[in-house]
Amino acid sequence: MKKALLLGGIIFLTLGTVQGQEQYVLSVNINNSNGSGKEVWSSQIERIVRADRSEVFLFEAENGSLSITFSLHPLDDERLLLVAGSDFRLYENQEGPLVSANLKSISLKKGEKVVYYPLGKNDESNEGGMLFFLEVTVNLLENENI
Amino acid sequence: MCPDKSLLSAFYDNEIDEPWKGEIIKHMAACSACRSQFEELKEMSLFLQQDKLVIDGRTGDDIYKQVFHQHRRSRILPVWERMNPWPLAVAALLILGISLIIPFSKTKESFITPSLVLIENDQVDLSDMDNLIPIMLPPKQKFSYYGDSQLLKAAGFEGDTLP
Repeated sequence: MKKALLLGGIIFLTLGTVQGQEQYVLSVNINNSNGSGKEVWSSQIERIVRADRSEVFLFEAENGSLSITFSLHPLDDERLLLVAGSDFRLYENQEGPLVSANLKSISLKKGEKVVYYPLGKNDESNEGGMLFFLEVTVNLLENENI
Repeated sequence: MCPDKSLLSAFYDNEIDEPWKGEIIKHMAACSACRSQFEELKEMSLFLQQDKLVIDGRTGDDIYKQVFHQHRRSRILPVWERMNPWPLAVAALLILGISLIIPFSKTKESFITPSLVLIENDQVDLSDMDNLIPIMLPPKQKFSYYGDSQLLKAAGFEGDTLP
């Protein structure tokens, strides 16, 4: 009787742990374009992310640093809440160092692509400036992904 | 009534207070047996206080060493005294060495240039579960700041199908 209870308890705890550790593949296409919209460089990164855990991208450039934190929170079987936080420090600024922190969230379906502009988006022509953005897609991690 | 031997010994060591001390002195003045016992104690004490005590050809130091070694042999040694200390010391040194080397070995490679590493190799490391990804922008590329961040849905998504 004791053995059966012990075995049942272990199975219950194991199932609970496995269920609570849903994993996703976070695909991020990093893009930096110049004023005329021409891509200067881009890079794609894929990461395995656990639900409710964060993934931090730390970008360093000559004139500043940008930290972006993504976290995924399941809403239901189909939808996820993507929370994106940014912490930007611009060292070279005419009015002194600039610090900007933002937090945005969006619900998305698995496989749906969202675009994140951590430094804002200039809809008009931005001659000379660079437009930095990340295209983010989230998929459920399945065995064949590994 | 005669005092027992332990009381006499205590009296000899001057550990008995008044009025008992006076009573014992009075008693000993009248009791030859107690006086005799007291003299024995005195002789024994003087004998043991000799500088070079010799019993059956052995000095006091020899006797002490013999008793001490018998005591050491008879007691159960703890695990850390019984085991060979060298493997433990080597393991401790290895752990210390590794813990000193690891922090220094990561410093130079912690920043990667995505255009050099990730695109050229066309590989994505899914096994690395560190949640911090440091990325150095290519040289001469700078950040341009336009305002608050924006998170937007991309056009062209058609439901649940994967892109």
